Amino acid sequence: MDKRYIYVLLFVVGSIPFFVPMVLPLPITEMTSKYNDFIESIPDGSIVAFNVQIYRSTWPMLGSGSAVTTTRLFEKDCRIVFFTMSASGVPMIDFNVQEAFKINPKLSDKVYGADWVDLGFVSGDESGLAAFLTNIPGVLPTDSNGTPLEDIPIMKGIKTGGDIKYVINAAGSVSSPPLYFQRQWVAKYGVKLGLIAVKSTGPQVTPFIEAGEMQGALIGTGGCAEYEALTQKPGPALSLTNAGSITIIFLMLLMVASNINYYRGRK
Amino acid sequence: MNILDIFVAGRAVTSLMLLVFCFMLILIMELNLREKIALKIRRMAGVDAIDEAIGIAVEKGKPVMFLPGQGKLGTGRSGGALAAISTFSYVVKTCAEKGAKLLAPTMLPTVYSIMQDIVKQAYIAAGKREEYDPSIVTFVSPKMQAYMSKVGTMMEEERIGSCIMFGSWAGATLWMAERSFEAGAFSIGGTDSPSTIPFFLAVCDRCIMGEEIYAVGAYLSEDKAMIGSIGGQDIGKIIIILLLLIGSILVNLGVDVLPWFKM
Amino acid sequence: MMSFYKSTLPKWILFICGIVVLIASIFVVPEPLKNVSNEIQHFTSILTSFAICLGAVSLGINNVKRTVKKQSGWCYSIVLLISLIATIGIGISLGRKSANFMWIYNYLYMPLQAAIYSILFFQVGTAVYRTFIVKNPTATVLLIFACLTILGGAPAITCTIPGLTALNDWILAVPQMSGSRGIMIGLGVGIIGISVRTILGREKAYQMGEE
Repeated sequence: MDKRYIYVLLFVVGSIPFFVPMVLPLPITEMTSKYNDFIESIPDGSIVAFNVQIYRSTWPMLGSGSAVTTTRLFEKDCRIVFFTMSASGVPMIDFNVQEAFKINPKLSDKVYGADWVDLGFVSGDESGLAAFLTNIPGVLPTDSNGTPLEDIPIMKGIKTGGDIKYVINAAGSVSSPPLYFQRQWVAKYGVKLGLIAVKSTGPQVTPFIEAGEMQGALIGTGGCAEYEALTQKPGPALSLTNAGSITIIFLMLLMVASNINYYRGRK
Repeated sequence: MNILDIFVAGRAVTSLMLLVFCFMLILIMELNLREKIALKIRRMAGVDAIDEAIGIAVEKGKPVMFLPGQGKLGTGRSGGALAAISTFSYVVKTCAEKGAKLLAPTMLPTVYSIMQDIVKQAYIAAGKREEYDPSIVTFVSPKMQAYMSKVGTMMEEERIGSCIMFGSWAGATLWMAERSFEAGAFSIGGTDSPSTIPFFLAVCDRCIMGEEIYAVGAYLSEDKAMIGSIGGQDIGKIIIILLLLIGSILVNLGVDVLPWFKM
Repeated sequence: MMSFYKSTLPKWILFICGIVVLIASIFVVPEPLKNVSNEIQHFTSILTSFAICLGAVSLGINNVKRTVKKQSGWCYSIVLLISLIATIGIGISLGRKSANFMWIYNYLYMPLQAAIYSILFFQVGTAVYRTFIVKNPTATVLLIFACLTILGGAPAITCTIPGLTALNDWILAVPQMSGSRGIMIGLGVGIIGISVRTILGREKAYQMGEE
């Protein structure tokens, strides 16, 4: 079958939910339940570190999970230290916070510096994170606006990775961030880690969740949609899962068609 | 004073295990390097696949494309990058000897510099200095999407005969593999990243997965230190398997082994 | 003399830095050594930032060469160079939070990134069509598990077939995880091997290009 037919059919099938809204029940997977339990178990008022490494291209997939998590943490009066391990993620921190304020407008009175801070870009991937965690003010002496960390109320007393007990890693790329956060932060400082990652990272992350090294994860759009349903904050992920469902049914039909074609060709 | 007090708290047992493993690795590596022992790596299917790919391209009179992956040197993914460099050395040498055109677009400036030097030396060593072309290795962009677009276009324009994707791969995996198929090329995918192994396995003609790419890199480089290190790693894996078995038996007998590793 | 600077000195720097950081991570060491180890790790952040600059400079140089020599696609190189200079210039002069810089980010960079990434959606279709065929027992097993895992991601299916979510969770938690763990243990061992070779100066790949 000419691949162009497949492309056209995929486009048509993927577009259907945008014109025909559907409401489908959504079973909750164990990983998302564990993630929700982890967020709810964070004591109110705690300081939470949040790596926003979701790019604009992966925002539709994972952004709602990140925004809903931020909203929930703000609702629990947690204070959030945002940073990013990717240069492209720098503008997304502010975007993420604004999206959280849209989900719950009552949170717009959260004060920068007291309730949240944007530390900006930490370069160096795993070795950069290791360096950052040994001396946070040493690696990033100012926040992304140039304000010295000693003048920021939320950063008082935070010198190393061990001074923050809870970490959320929103990693929107298919690479090693889920693992190197576990190696450099959880293993060394004993923090609790929650993860938001793309679907293909799910199998890689399962052993760590089963072993208790990570507390839970939102995997892909489905995980984010389940979290939206659990927290009763419906958003774009829920509508995307409808498109996903229809596309998946179409992919199943494609598999059947390809097998029929193959065996017809063999005869 | 307890001997374990010299280690950082909570990591004594794991640190001790690491030190023992490193010592054993160094011992075997040095013994092999000084030819006190003679370790050999068996010829793997991955090496045959690389030869097959180059052979197919030569038969068709089309170029070979080598993609060294997205692993950066100096990070946790440098293993894949180093294996890609070792394998690239072999691919260049073979292409130079067989007269196959080679294309090697890269996305990392550090890997690009090393690969350029490798190509120059390989052509000089093959006695084909006049055929050396500096544009064999090109630097495209450090950004994945830009790299994907450019390489996909190159595959079609140059009508490649085979595509060897070897290294530490991330999000560009499916794109590269599909575009090489659309260009009609014979494709080999080798990656150490568990999340991208399934893509190569499903889409490529041949797949080399996990630490096999390190072994292929060591085999092709014929470097005694690398081969010795692979031998040491294999012994380490046997020890780990034994520990897993012992641990499983103890856990099933009701013994909680986890606190031992947190001493 | 050149051999000392190109080969011997870098190996000694590598060895000293590697051993200091390793010892400080494993053993309880005096504070001055810990500080030295921390400073060495901080340098990696600085070096990585320079590597980003190296990327931009390499990109610029290569595209200038392509433009000057009028190689294939040289007009795209001009577009690239103009974009590169404009973005860097605006970012440095007006700041990264300025309206102009954010306009480039929101309306040029991100849509292009999203567009390329979204083409993967169509390639998944063609990959599925040609890959999941019942040709032999291995391919059949791949097909069955792929179907179960893919269907598990469709709420429309999971809510109509009872037990599919639990089966998916089981596939992730048992067969898949054992394979994943095996691969990760092997990779971990491999990375230790590479690190040991690199620290001891036995890693040949870094030295390629010296002779």
